[in-house]
Amino acid sequence: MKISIPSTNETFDIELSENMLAANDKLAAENRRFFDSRGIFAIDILGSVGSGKTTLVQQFVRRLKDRKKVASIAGDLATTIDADRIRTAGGEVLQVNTGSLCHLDASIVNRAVSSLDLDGLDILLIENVGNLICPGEFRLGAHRRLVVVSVTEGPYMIVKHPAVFLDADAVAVNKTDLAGVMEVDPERLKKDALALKPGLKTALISAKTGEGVDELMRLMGIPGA
Amino acid sequence: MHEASIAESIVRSVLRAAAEAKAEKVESVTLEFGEWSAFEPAQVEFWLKVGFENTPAAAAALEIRTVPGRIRCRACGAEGACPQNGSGVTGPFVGPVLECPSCGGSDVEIISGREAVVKSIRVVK
Ligand SMILES: Nc1nc2c(ncn2[C@@H]2O[C@H](COP(=O)(O)OP(=O)(O)OP(=O)(O)O)[C@@H](O)[C@H]2O)c(=O)[nH]1
Ligand SMILES: [Mg+2]
Ligand SMILES: [Zn+2]
Repeated sequence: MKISIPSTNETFDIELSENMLAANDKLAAENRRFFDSRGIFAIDILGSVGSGKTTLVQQFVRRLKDRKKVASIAGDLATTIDADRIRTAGGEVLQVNTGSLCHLDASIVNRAVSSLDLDGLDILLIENVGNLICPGEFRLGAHRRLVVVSVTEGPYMIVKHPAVFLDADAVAVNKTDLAGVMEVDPERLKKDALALKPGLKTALISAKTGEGVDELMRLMGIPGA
Repeated sequence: MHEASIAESIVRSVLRAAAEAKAEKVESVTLEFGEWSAFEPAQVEFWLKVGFENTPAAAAALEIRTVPGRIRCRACGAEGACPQNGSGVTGPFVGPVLECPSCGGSDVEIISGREAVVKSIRVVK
């Protein structure tokens, strides 16, 4: 903090330059160091309410559990529904209820991780609160950020929410099995994502049928994929 | 929503600085938000007014500046603004393309445009 020369007798300008996201960013970096020190590969999974995050986490777990030790964190405002659903696929699952908070943040993940069995853990799947806006600002320390959009959200989902894609590593265009009835072209959604960020890994998937999920996992570089 | 939580951090930081300076009153607060941050200035302003009620900053004028987005290319090292995309996407979308302004590469990092910063405050002693 620096107090500059008074502009009048009693008025002072105080230079602060304090980053309001710094506390979260710092904790996120700590989480990352912790994951790295234990050889844990962490994925932050974002997307609107109902885009298919939990269904996709179930697919990931089913595909990985025989080769890798996988744990999941399910973030929701309320209920343990998603954790219960993921548990049917396998692996350890922890439900985090955020109450009225519209996103997970690094401190929530930090606390959640400490209550997981970390012994030999290879992969941590973190399902964020269903929301395509707020979670974008709060890094968790994960190695990858995956955004799940689905054709049932209509054709404008990506162009209307550009901010969240700028920080993403991969985008899954989900529910392609419904593309026909929705009259939404999944290729178009993929093009929109790439127009925003050409370096994104993109895959057209159906988390329901499992189509495209293997390719998505390979593109994201998930160990054991 | 998340504007409320960022406003809470801003209130804390402003009032702490004012107290440390033994100020009687905060006249103005200058904030900087990145062009690509998902904080809506009007919402932040609303929650700040609520947070500053009955404090030395209750009458503070708010100035919110926008920090332009900039990227750096990991391949060629170039830095600059993003090219803008006005076509090739659905609807009337005009926005940034995370692509190197110099070599066209896509391995770029964001160096500004995501910030939420309390830049300075003006206080009366
Ligand atoms: N037809 C079809 N349905 C799907 C697909 N993926 C998910 N669903 C269905 O969409 C609904 C929502 O899926 P979830 O996986 O719960 O979505 P979510 O993103 O986890 O939702 P929240 O956690 O509430 O934000 C469920 O009824 C799923 O069965 C898909 O690829 N195709
Ligand atoms: Mg879910
Ligand atoms: Zn370049």
